[in-house]
Amino acid sequence: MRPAGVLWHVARLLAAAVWLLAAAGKLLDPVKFMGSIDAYALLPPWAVIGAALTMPGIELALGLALLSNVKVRSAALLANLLMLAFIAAIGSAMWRGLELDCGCFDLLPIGPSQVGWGTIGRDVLMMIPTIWLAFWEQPKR
Amino acid sequence: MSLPKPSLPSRRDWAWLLALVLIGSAAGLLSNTLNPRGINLSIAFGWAPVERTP
Repeated sequence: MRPAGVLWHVARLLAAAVWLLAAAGKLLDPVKFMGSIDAYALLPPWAVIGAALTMPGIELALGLALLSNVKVRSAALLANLLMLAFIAAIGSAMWRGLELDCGCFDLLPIGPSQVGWGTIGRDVLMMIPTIWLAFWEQPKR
Repeated sequence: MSLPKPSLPSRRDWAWLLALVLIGSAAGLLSNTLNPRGINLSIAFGWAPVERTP
């Protein structure tokens, strides 16, 4: 396999690990995750409950797709859309001067957990592999 | 090392994205139902009957 092909699989597995880790913490404690979403004060109560019920499963599905090398492009696209929404939510919280836990990785904290430039920077870094997976074809062997 | 050129996702990719969202949402709902520490929908949505004290 060529170096670009190896790198493509490394990016895919890295992204899968990030999203599966994020999903695991939320699936284990959905009530805490619901509190985290509510703390952003962006959504009405019914949407907070809906997001807390569905988001962990969506993260799990896209993480499993990336891990198993099935529909990687669609999963990477979805990962980018979710990450953009998270960055917008964090930016909005910073704009309003809210000091809260981002609710991103409860199981194994990766980087800062308090909303701020650190969490935005981490999310942007995490988007690099998924942008590659979404907008470039898989390198041929 | 030569990388392939970038390309936009096809309609099929977007359709599978929607499928992933639907499958994931169903998995999330199922997981919450099976989880003893899951969100109690009756309480969350206010469906639980209110106990009135005499």
